[in-house]
Amino acid sequence: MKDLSEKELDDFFQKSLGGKQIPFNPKAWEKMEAKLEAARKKRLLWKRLVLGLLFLLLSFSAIIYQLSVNSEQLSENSEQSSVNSEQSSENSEQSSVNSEQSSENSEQSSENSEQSSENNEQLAVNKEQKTINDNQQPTTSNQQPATNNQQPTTENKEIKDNNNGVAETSVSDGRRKFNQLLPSDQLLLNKQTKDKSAAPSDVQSQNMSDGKTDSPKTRNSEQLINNQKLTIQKVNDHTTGVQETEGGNYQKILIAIDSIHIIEKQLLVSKFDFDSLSKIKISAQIVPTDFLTGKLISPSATNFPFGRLNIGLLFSPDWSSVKFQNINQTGYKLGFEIEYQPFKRLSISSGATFSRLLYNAGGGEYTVPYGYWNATRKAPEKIWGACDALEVPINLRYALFENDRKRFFISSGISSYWMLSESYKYEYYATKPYLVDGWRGKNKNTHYLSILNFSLGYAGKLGKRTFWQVEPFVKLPLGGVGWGKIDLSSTGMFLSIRYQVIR
Amino acid sequence: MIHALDTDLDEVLKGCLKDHRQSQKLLYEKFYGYGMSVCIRYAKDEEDAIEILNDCFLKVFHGLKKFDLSRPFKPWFRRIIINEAINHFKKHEKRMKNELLKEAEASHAIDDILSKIAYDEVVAMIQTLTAAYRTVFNLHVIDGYKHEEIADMLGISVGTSKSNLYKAREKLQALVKEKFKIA
Repeated sequence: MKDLSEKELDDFFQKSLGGKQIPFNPKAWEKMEAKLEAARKKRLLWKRLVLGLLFLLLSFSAIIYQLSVNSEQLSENSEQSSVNSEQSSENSEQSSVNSEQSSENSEQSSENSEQSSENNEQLAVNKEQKTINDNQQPTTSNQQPATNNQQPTTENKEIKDNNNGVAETSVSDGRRKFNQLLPSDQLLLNKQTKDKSAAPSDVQSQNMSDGKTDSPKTRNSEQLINNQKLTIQKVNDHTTGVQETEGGNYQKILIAIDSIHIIEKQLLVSKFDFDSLSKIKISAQIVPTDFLTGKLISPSATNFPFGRLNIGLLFSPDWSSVKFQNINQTGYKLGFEIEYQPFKRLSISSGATFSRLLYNAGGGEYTVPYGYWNATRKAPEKIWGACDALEVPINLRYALFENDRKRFFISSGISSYWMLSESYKYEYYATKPYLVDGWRGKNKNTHYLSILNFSLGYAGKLGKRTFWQVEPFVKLPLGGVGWGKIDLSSTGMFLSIRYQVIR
Repeated sequence: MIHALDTDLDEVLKGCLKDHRQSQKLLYEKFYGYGMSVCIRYAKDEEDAIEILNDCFLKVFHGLKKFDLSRPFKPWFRRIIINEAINHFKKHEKRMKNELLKEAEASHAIDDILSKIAYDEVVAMIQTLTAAYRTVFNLHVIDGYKHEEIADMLGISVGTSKSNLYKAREKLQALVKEKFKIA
């Protein structure tokens, strides 16, 4: 045979090979299906890995953030504690200085009283002494505590004047001032009872005081003193109460008690006026806030308004579907959840939910076991699924906003499904009675960590320990669910009633 | 059951876009013959051709989102097959070079060729070529690529491409001559 030219050879092969259709080979499709399944599993594995890593990253970020916030709060509290300690020591010093000044003034007062009693014998001389005392006041006015402590002496003198009935106007003026100077008088009274060898002027003061006891003004004044003591007593009681409940941070509590004692001392030795009383009341209210209800001493009252541990009953309608298509049936979820809050805004929750999942999807959405669809068992156009599953979620929850009455939060986590029962009904467009109508099974499939949860919610207080919660959610598949390995997504809205087990 | 040939291609492609297994099967059935007719020319045997074709379909199913449904599917599919055949050639290049050494031993397949029908005979002739010769011959003679393009696609020089084509023709010439002589 003669050799073919290049062109003849090329034409021969082009014509021979062109336009030829090779008949379909079912074995080739089986290989293709196995390849598709392997690729699907690979994709799901990557999807799980990426989402899992993302979830871990978010969790760690949230925990680290929370830890850093807590450590900042701790350092702030310790700084505040040291500042308070310094203030306390300063107050103690101030108090000792005041005490010294007070004793000096008392001595001066008794001297003045002696002088005054001597002057009682001669009214003219007494008037001169009054002038001397009046002149003393501006000299000491530069030193505020000294001036305050000196005033009772002057006032005492005025009262003695009133007792002597020198001038009626002076008596009313003295009573008016007496209301403002009750603590100092109380101090003098105390000094008199302690010191039996009191000067004649002290006896006069005693008599004067006895004389004033009957007057309504004096009763009011005593009542005010008693009220003031009661206020201090309440503060002390409160302090003791906190000490009992918390049992820690003795240093802070001692500082608080010291502060209260200092306040008490200041009250007794200094000029008493209503302005300072109101300030003391305010400080008594502030003290529990600054010292006692600070985050270190009573964190449960401020950091965990919804409790450290709560348990709740949940219910939700369930709309399950493949890629959120053909949602035309409603299932439900019913279960319980336990939530533990180790940090201020971050909590972890878990529980168990019985889920009734109703859904439908095209036959192609289901990945049935290899070789299940064959000549006598054709793939249907649609499959209706009705499954009962036990869901166990593990979720992390972060409170975006939280106060004593309400909180908004976001939540994310992973769920495992235990398929308790599965029922699939096949639907064919043309009625083919010879074909099988479905598949049923019980406890055949378990899917660990195969559903990704996202939700946001709102919680509101009902009582001291109870609260309600609403939580719309989305559940996305990380792997195939059920016998048909379907990519089942779910939406719904959890309604729950919760109880704080640990506050 | 819906037959592949009776189904509208657009509907099938839309089903494939949704990862519907039934639609994927319909598309596979529809283009299996065409795909195999191309793959078998590049493959050393039918098993090899199926492997190449399945890899092509996997790329089609995963890459369908990038495909403009308003454009004809067949040329896009053909392009995927040829690219996959080239990848296959590159992947197995080392093994194919070893086959080159055994080129002389491949002539025993002529007896089998003669016993088959025309198309199978021609395919078998091509499959007796080494992978390097076969790929260049297919790309240049059947699929119409120029030597510069082939050199670029296969990562060889233009001279090697021309040389391979010359040797492929020489081999096929001998096979045809042999076949007609026997006939």
